[in-house]
Amino acid sequence: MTPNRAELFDHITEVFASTEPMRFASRDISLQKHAVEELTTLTSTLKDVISLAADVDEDLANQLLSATCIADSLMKCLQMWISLKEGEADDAWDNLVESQMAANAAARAHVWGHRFAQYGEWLYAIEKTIFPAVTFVSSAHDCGRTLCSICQADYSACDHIAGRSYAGKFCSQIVLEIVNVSHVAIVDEPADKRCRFMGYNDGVPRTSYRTCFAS
Amino acid sequence: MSASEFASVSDQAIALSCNVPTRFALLPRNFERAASYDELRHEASTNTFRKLLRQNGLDETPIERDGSSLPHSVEHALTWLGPIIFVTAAYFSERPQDLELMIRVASDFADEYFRGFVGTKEARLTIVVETNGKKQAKCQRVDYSGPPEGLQSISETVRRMNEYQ
Repeated sequence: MTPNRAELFDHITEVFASTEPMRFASRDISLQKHAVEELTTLTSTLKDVISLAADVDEDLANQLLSATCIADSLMKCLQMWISLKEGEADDAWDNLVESQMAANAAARAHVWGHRFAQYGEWLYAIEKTIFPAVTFVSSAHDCGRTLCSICQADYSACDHIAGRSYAGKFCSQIVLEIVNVSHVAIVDEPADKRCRFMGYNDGVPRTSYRTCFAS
Repeated sequence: MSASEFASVSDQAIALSCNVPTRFALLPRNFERAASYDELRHEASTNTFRKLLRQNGLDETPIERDGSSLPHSVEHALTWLGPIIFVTAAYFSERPQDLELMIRVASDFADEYFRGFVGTKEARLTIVVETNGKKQAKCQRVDYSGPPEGLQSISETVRRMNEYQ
């Protein structure tokens, strides 16, 4: 049975409308934790519906994937504030980065996700104003054969494109072999902002770059 | 954007026991300086770019030996690194519009790569065109590095460079 698009998106809009206002620092932590629970339930439901839609309506499955990414992004954003309030600065950073990555993925999954472009910019502004400057690193390596995550065929032989969504799933390359690890570089714009210098040793226990607190 | 000379692609292909391109080919990132076939490494984008070209009706002469594939280098900086696109003199003079199409495909690919990202976006692409010089054919390269929206401007530079030869 094809899931009803209008009903589904009414429900998604309803959940977003009740949880989205919690994405600000000043909101009460218990309300933010409750919103995380609501979004967790929503993403779990959406994942089930995506698998139902995948065989009958590819566009709907991709739109639902986009909605799942936004729900995931909101959830991670809330977890960022919760982590900060609980004194877990490194977890907060990782949550922010995962929130940004999920918002980006929403835009790639379906055109529906493009409406959240301003939200993506807001997350970027949070990165620049809430956290201190970060030194990022990027690893480089040489890969051998890769498989397509959609059809499991040799990636060079099929027609799927990595990064695009197909029936509610993102296509990616599954690396079968790493031929050589080349180097690690310090970069301004890494693909994954979780790759960073975490702390330093200056004769005392390691000091966190994020909190300047030695632990 | 910068222009400079590139090693003879056919000579280097023969030296490395690669297939010699007859129309166009995607060259490994270290094609010019590799001392052996085993050293060759493609950009991470090459496999996907090949598929996109195929889907646009453009079939290359792969430089890989028949039935073999080359490793690709993966870097995790947020930069779109396109492959080196090589076009033979004969193919370029017969079908200059195909190079424009390749550059458009590259530009769309880079746009898609950065979709949703906020921050500084950088794309890099190199085009190598064989030109019929007065005495012998030579290869010229055009390197682009900048925002992905500027990739399309390579077409005009390559066209002018070819007219100048």
